[in-house]
Amino acid sequence: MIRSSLQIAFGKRRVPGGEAVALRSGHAVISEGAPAICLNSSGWLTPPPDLIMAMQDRRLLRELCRDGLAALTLGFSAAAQRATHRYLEALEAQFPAPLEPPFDLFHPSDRFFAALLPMPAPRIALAGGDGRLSQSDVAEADLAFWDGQGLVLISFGDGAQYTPRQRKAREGLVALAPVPVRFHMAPVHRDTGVCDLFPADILSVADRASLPVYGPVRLAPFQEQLAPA
Amino acid sequence: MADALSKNMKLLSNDRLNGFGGVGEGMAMQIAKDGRRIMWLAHEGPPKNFTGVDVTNPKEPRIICQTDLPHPRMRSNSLDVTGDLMVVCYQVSVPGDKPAGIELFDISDPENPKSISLFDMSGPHSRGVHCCWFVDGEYVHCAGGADGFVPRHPRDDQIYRIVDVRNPSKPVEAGRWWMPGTRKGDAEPAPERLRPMPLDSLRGPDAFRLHNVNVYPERPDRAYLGYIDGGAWILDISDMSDMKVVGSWNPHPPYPGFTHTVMPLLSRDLLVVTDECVQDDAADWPKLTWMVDARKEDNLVPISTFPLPSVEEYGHKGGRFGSHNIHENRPGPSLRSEEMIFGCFFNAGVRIYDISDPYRPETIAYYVPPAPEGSRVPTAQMNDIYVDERAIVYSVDRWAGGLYILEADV
Repeated sequence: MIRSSLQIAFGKRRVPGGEAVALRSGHAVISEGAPAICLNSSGWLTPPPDLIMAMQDRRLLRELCRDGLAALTLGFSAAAQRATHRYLEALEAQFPAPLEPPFDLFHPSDRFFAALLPMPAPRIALAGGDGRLSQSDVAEADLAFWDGQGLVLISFGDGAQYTPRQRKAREGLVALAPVPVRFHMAPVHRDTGVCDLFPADILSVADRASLPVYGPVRLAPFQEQLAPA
Repeated sequence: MADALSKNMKLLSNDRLNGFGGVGEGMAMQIAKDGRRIMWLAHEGPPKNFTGVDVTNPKEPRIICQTDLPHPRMRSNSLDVTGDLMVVCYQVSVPGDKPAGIELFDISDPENPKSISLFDMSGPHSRGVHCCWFVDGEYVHCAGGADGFVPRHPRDDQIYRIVDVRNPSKPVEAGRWWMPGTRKGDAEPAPERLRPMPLDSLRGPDAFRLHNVNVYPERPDRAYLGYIDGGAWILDISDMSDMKVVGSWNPHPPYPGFTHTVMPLLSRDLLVVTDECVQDDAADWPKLTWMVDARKEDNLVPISTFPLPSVEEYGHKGGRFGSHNIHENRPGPSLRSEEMIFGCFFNAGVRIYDISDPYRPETIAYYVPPAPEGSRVPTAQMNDIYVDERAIVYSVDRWAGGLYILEADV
């Protein structure tokens, strides 16, 4: 039965740290008509207010995105880390950051933040509810993008890595998703260029953005004062 | 199969290979031109050389070809297949004997393999070739002796050799490397023997020689070597005639030696490193499978070992108990998971691990067959393993049980 929405958990599952096992994960809900999930979407980054107030420069906003993605990426996911790095590098090349801090609310370079957010290690539960999930109940990939119309799941390898349960999960996802789902296999080779890592339409989303939008948070000059000066 | 121990795995079929069920560590799958799946197996020792089994229907395997060795003082042990080209290793019991090297076969007609050429690796100090890796159709990477290579210790005769087979009728050497200090005349000191053994047999432990080498098309400039008591090595082979060490790691000592396989998980910057148990009755326990952090190739760090049943329970059941071969994620009709590892552990059977958290590998499935009739030991000795892209598991017994075909619920 087709669902009305898909819930995607993404990011680190476990962070080793002594006896405690910490969860650090993002969460996205997609459905027909849901807006694209971009670097400037709210919710995936939650910097503390004092950090926001300290940022005077759009370049720091980009660093904030880099750091945020790195924090979400699994420890031993070299291919995903390399791909995310190349993705951001490609955006930097496409939309160079202004040399001087611009003090206008909108700036053409802010198209950088209109690019889609690569969601690392996405997991989509297909069944369950009673707390018991098997491998065929969870569709997984290395990265996911939601462009407002379709879900794109990126996996690194030649497609031969999936066990029967994992293949069944991917088929199950296509069957119940309320939106189109595409699978993209990306090469593991270290020197793979960004154009082979990602589908062209994913890379060009920021180009097509109608209006540049500031980053995931407003820079301090555009913020209301948190406290009397 | 009655008396088997299993979890999330079931036996689809077992073929005793016409009564020659002792299989070495050479398993490779060919998709024939007519679509059949042929599993090629190298035997553990004489009189058989290799056997081809049609496993298109894994519930009804059928032998289509079985060949004999030229003489009983040799073994094939290992083979590999790319397309319609098969490489078979020849190792002799006594240095200097022949044939010692690799033989190339045209298997386009699987029922009738045709010899194309023999690349000779014999020599006064050479026992020939123990293991090979051939996945790109161009280069054979193998552990072989060489005429002109004089080891300081007679058990250290098999070094890393690369053979260019782009013209299969005229193979030529492309490169060689050995662990520094193991060749007579090396400037480096000879490695200290880990567990010195008498020289009544050249087989077995106490060796600084190559066992397995793995090279993947996703990383063609790297070779991953299991160098027995010399541990794990990563080489830069971008210039095959001048290979360079990138990194190495060796848990032996204090562990008891015999690094066997070094398999990289290239999308994760991890290595799976196996030891080989080579003595019965847990005499060389513990033989482990290690997870190694390879994010920095020149600073390899072990982060976990794979869980095994207790030595108290399995160590004295008979035969060997501990790590050996794993499914090596080779290209071709092969599963290439970097989240699950399929291994064989002699009397502890075939075991599957979930390594999504590499700090904590977990056993998710196993199959331990009962002792096959006619075996030298009172347990099955699962010696090698291959997993096709459908996740059908093929494993072999070292002495008598032949080919086991299994289905895993993973």
